Amino acid sequence: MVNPFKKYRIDLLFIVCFAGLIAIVLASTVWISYVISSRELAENTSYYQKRLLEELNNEITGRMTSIEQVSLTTSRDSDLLTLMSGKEDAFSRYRRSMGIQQALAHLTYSIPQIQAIDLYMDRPEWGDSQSYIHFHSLKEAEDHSWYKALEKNDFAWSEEHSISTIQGEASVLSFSRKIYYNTRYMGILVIHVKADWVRSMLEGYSPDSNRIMLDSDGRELLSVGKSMSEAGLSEQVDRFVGESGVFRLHTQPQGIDSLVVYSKLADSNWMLVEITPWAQITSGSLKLAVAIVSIGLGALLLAFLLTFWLSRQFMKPIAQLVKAMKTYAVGEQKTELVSDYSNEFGVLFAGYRKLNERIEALYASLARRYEEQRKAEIEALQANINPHFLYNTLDQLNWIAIAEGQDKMSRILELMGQMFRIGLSHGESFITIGEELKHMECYLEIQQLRWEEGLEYEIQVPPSLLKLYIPKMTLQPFVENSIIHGFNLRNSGTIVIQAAEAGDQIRITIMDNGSGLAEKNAGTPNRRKGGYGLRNVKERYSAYFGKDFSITLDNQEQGGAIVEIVFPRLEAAPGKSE
Amino acid sequence: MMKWKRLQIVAVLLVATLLLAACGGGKGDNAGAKPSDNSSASNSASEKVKLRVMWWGSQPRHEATLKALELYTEKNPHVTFEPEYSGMDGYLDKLSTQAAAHNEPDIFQMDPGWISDWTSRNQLEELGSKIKLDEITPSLLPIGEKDGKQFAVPLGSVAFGMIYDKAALEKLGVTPPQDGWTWDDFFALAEEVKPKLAKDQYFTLDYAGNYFMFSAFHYAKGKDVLITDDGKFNIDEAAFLEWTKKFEQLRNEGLVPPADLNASDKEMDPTADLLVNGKVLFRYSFSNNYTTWDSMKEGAYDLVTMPRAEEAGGWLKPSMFLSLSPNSKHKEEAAKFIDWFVNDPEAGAILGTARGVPANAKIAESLIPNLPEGEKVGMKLIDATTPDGQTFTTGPEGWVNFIDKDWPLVRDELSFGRTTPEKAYESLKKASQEYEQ
Repeated sequence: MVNPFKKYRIDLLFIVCFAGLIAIVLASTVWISYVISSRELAENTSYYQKRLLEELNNEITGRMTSIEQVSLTTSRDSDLLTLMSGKEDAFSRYRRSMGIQQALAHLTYSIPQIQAIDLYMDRPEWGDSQSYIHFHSLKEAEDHSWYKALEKNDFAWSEEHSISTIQGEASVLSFSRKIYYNTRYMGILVIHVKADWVRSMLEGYSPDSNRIMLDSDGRELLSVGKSMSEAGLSEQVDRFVGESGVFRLHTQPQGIDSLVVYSKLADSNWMLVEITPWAQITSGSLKLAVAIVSIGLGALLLAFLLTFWLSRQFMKPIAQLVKAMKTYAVGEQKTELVSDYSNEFGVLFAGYRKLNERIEALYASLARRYEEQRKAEIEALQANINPHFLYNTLDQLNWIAIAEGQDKMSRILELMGQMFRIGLSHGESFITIGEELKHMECYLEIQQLRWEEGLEYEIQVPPSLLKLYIPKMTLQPFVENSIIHGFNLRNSGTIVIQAAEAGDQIRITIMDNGSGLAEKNAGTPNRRKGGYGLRNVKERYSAYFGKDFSITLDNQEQGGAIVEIVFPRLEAAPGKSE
Repeated sequence: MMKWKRLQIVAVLLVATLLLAACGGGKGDNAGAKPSDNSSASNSASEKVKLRVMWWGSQPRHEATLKALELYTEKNPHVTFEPEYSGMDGYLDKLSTQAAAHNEPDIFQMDPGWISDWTSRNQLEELGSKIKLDEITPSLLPIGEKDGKQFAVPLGSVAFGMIYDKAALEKLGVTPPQDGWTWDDFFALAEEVKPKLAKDQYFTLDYAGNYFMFSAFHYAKGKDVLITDDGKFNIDEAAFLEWTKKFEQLRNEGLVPPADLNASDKEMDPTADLLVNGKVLFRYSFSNNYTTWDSMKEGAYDLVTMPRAEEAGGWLKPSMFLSLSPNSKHKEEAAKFIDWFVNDPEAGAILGTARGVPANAKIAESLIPNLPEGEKVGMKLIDATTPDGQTFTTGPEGWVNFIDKDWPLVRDELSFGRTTPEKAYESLKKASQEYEQ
């Protein structure tokens, strides 16, 4: 697992952290406020709904009771009982039935909530199908939906059902009561109450509510809005425990959450149930949550801008530093860092500057060391061909030769001594061209002594050049080359040495009339070019002048080899410090 | 735990405060806008109005009236109706009960006979100033007037005559009656059909104690009204005895239904009307009701004038009136509707002659030439009655119960054979003393 703080960009980290924090705070705030406020709202709602239902229940109980009392009074009416007993003759019976019909009709006229009144009895006669009062045969009662409730009781309210009237179908609740005279069961009085009236009571002043009216047995009589089965309450009847209460209903297929409040008064036959969609209760909480979310989103945006700005401010010096580091090269123009930071960035910048300075210093010392090392190498190379001890040995040999009378040998040894002397030159790397030529002449004289005759040489150097400097022992190897290789197997040869100034350069040519560089094409070039002496010269020149020199070997057209050495004009020997 | 709860509440409160600050502006705007909306609505002419309208009648009249209400709502969408309609039985009881509770409908149909009582109790709103009356047939207006003010608007005029089962008479091989026939013809016809009647078939209803039929007989005998306009009992004993004895004879001969069957008759009830059931051949009818019977058994019936004697038996009368409740909360709109109902040609076309020949002369004029066949029969009765028909009178104030309570008792006693014609006359005369001033 990689530490993200090591992997990702700082501004990104800033934003993610801030946004994450705010999101967490926001989410928990929204959740907590939603939960608490919806719980409070649900509690409040159910409390007030319970109170309201109790009041409605009171009112409905009162009104329904008055209907029950009307029914009771009517059922005790002696005219009615006389009619139903059927003991009279036809005329009295007719007159009485007219009277009763009128009396009952007056009930419907003066109590507009009563839709109609039915009387079930033996020998129902002289009814009027267009009237509000109907007489029916007792047998017909069994066909009606309210009859079932009456089987076990002397009186009962029916569920909502519809009856036909002259003005079409009408929805009613019916209160039916068995009529007894002494102990004789004589018939049933059914008062049909307009369902809309009960419904408007149930509705109260809240037309959008969903309320259901049950009787004490849990039978649904009437509903405003959804009925029990529509609301998915039919199987939940056993949850109506005690006089009143609240529970939350979750209907499975539709997935609707609702709050169910129910209330039953101790002295009432009715239980009222109110169903409120959970979404309606918590709509306030939802609004709250939405508002918090929008505030949170605003805060998130602000935090985003703030972190963006912050990270920009923090990243700017770092970016500057990174850029400076990327473009850094020793000795080149340096990118200047702004100098007004005095905090951690200032320290960082100062550290970087100090580091740079140290790098520069280290680099300079490294260059110096390298120079010293090179010089040491050159000196070691010179020491290879300049063995000091030979000089002393030669001196002793000279003395031996003189003592032996060997003049020729003595002269050779003398010349060798001179050569060594020049070769040593107190350890100087550069000597004058004059000395160099002298050194060469010594060598040539030794060769002349060996040859006795035939070897000629010519030095054509303007005197102005003699004072100029040249790396020592650079000419002798070429001359030696001409004699050993060019004049091999010959008994005569001429060497011409020329020097000239060309601008700020000195050109020295060494020409011979020997066999030339015949071997060049025969595949053994190393013999002449790569011979120890020549290579030594080239390496030294390279060390002194870098690329600022040239040494070329070639054949002349008229025969013999030509060596051309070009190197910078040196008025003085180059200092050791360089 | 408590601390945490408190913290939560504080957090919620904080957020809520923020929200309130944010939402406050919007809510304030709404609150400001609402009252102005309400006030403008209450001032505008299109305020929603629901008018209760109540009438009695038969099915065709209900249908025509409901159609007219529908058309009015279509034209005036802010006005809707709560119709209450029924048959004639119990109508006055219901209306009186509601009026006693000041809960009567805004607009209700009135019988000419009730108007004087209602105006004297100040239960009708003055209408003359609210409604255009210049197209109304002038002879129909006086009944709705009191002290020179119009309290009820006449809807139409009808003739009082008889309806008979033409198809049944033809089947029995009896010549149907002609307009202008006499009471002698009537009773002779009864004797003529007597042997031909099937079991459970009768000539006519037991009209022995029927106020209207006896009135017609009384008029025909030249004995004028049963109660004088100044409130005096005016039944001619001889005429009463002749009438009731004739019916006693019919009853004994089985030409009128036995009492319990007779009592079960409900005029124009498809199941309980004895004419519709084919149990009786004749019964009285107003000209406008022909279409109702015709709709129950098409082409079977015909109308004929009320039998006459020295004078004509039938009469023309304003069928019914519309009145406005003084307790109505929408008198202006209700009066507008009544005006439309009476004077608008479109309304007239829908309503036809359901309440008799329209009281609006112009509408009647345009309607009569194009009447459908069924309604022409009613027109024929009106034309036959017009030349020498009796002058209709509503009778004096305060006698409604004499007609509605005392007469029915005598009617039933006669029908059930509980009294004799002489005793019946005595009891009527005795009862009338309560009403005489």
